Amino acid sequence: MAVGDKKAFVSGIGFLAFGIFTLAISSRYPLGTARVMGPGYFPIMLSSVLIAISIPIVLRSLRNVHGGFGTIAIVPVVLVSAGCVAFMLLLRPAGLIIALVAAMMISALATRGRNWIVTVPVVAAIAIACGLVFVKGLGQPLPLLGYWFGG
Amino acid sequence: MSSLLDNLMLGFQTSLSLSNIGFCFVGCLLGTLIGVLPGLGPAATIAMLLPITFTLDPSAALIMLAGIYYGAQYGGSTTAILINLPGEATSVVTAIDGYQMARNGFAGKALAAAAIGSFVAGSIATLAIAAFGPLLSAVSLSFGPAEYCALMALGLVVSSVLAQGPLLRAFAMVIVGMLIGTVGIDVTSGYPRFSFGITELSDGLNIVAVAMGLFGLAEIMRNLGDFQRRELMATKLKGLFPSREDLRAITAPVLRGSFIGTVIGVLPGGGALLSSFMAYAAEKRFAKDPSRFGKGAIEGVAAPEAANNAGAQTSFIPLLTLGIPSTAIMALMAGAMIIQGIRPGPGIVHEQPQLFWGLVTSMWVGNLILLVLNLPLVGLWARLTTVKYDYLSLGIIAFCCIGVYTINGLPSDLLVMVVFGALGVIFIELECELTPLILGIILGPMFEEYLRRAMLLSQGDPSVFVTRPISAVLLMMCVIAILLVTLPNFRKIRKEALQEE
Repeated sequence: MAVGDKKAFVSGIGFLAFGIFTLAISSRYPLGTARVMGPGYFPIMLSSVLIAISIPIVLRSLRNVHGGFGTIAIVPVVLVSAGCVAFMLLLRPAGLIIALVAAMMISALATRGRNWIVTVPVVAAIAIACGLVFVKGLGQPLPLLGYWFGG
Repeated sequence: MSSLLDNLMLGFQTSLSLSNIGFCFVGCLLGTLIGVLPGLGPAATIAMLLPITFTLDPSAALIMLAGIYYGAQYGGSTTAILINLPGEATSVVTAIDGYQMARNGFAGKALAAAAIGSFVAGSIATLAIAAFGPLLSAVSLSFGPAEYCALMALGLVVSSVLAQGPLLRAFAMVIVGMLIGTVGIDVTSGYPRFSFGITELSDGLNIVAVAMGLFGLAEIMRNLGDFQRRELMATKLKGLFPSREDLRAITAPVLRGSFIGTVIGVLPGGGALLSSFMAYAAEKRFAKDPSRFGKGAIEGVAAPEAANNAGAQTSFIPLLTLGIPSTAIMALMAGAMIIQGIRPGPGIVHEQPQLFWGLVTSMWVGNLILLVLNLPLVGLWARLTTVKYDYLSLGIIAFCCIGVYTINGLPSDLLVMVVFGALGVIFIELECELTPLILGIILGPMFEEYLRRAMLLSQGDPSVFVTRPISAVLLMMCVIAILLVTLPNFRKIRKEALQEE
C-alpha cells in the first residue's frame, strides 16, 4: 500500500497511538459523573476526541499526495540533549563554569567543519560571562565551582 | 475620564521612576538583542531572560519583561526584513514586503517604517488598555465558569485555525497539549495522573521548561548540524529616515493597522498573529495599486507591524482582567507574575492599581524607548543578524540551561526541556504546529477546572454552555471560526496567508 502523504500518515498514527495510550491509562482512574467529575473524566474525554481526530488524518493521508520527508539530522538532537544532561549532572559537583563548558563543547561537536581554534575561547568566554552575570551580578544561587573543588 | 487620567498619572509615577525606566530600557535592549538573532522569537527570548527578573520587585520585573517582549518582537521584524527569516509567525507578513524592500536597497526605510508603525500602534493600544481594561475587568466579574470555559475554547479553536500547518493536525496538537497539561496531581481530587510514580511529575510539567524546549532548543537542534550559511545583506543601510512622502504613505495604514490590532489582539489565541494578517489584507484592498504588494510596498510593512504591536499589547487584556493567558508569551508572563506572588486576574486592577497602571503605562514608555533605541541602532542590529550561528547557538544553549535550572532549582526541569526540544524537532518536521500544543498545555488545566465547576453548578447539565448568553456567543464564534476555515474560499486565503515563503 502506497502512502500518499507520509508526514500526515506518521503524525496521524502518532496521535492515534498517543490517544490509545492515554485512554488506556486514564480509564483506570475514577471516572466520576458529569456532575462531579473524577480525575479520569477529562483525560478520557480528551483521549477519545484525539482518537476521533486522528482517524481522518490517517485516512486522508492515504489518498492525498504530498512531498516526502525531509531529513531530521539525529546527531545534533542527540548531542544537544547530551550537552544539557551533562550540564544537569555536572552543575552541583563541578560548578556552573565547568558544566556550561561541557554543555557547549558537547553541543559544538554537532557542527561539521567547526573552527575549534575560535570555538574554544568563545565557549570559555561565554561560560565566564554567564558566571559573572548570573551569579555575581544577579545573585542566582548557583555554585561557580562545585563541591569537587570545595565550592 | 478624570479617573482615567488619575489612573494614568498613578501609572506614570511607577513607570517613570528612574529605576523603572532603567529596567524598561534594559528589557528593550536585551529583548531586541536576543530577538534579532535568527530563529529566536519573542517566546524563546522571554523564556531565556525570565530568570534575570526573579530578583527584582514585582512591578520592576513585569515592566522589564514587557520591555523584553516588545524588544523581542521588534527584533523579530528586523530579522524578517533583513534576512527574510521571521522569528515568529507574527512577522511572517512583515517579511513579505520588508525583505523585498531590503533587496531593493530600502532596508533602512523598511526598518524605520516598522519602528514608527509600532510606536504609533503601541501608543494607541496603551490608551485602549487604559480605557477598556478596567471596564472589562468589571464585566469579567459576571463571568461564571461556563463563560471562562467558552472563552478558552474560543482561544484554542482560534489558535489552531491560525496555525500554519494542516488544520486537523493543529486541532490534534491542542488535544495532545491538553492531555500533557493533565500530568500531575489532579487539584480537585488529589489523584496523581500520568505521573507513573515519578515524584517530579506529580507537580505537573514546568511550562517555562516546556516552552524553552519547544521554541529555543528545538530550533538549535534543527540548525546546529549543518547551518546553511545565510546570504548576508550586502547592501549598505542607506536612507534610514523615511522621506516625507513615505511618512504620508504610511500614516493611514499605520492607523488602520493599529485599530485592527487593538481590537483583534484582545481575542484569545493568537490575536497578534491574526491582526497582522488582517492588516495586510486590508491594505491590499485599500491600495490604489494592489500589485505593488509582495514587491516591496512600504504600507505592507507599516500596517502589519502596527497591527501586531497593538495586538501584542492588547493581548495583555485577557491576562490582566480574566487571568487567562491567551498566548504562549502571556503564559510566560503569567508564570512570572505567579513567581512574584501576584495572581493574574480580575483582582489586579483593584488590589494592585500601582502595578496594573505601572505596567500599562510602561508599555508606552517601552515603545518610546524602542523607537529611540532602534532607529539609531539599526545598523548594529543589522550586523548582529550576521553573527555566526556556530557560536551564537552555543551561547543560547548556555542561556537555556541556566534559565531553566534557575526557575525552581530542579535538575528534572532540564530533562523536560531536552525532551520537549527533541519532540519539537519531530513536530516541526511533521508539520504539526507548536503554538496550539503549548496553548493546550497552558489552558488545559484551567479549562478542566472551570468545566468541572460549570458542570457542578448546572447539576451535570451541559446545556448551561448554550443557555448562558455570553457563553453561547463565545461558542457561536468558535463554530463560525471552524466553518470559515472549512469554506473553500477562506481555505484558499488561509493557505496563501499562512504559507511560509
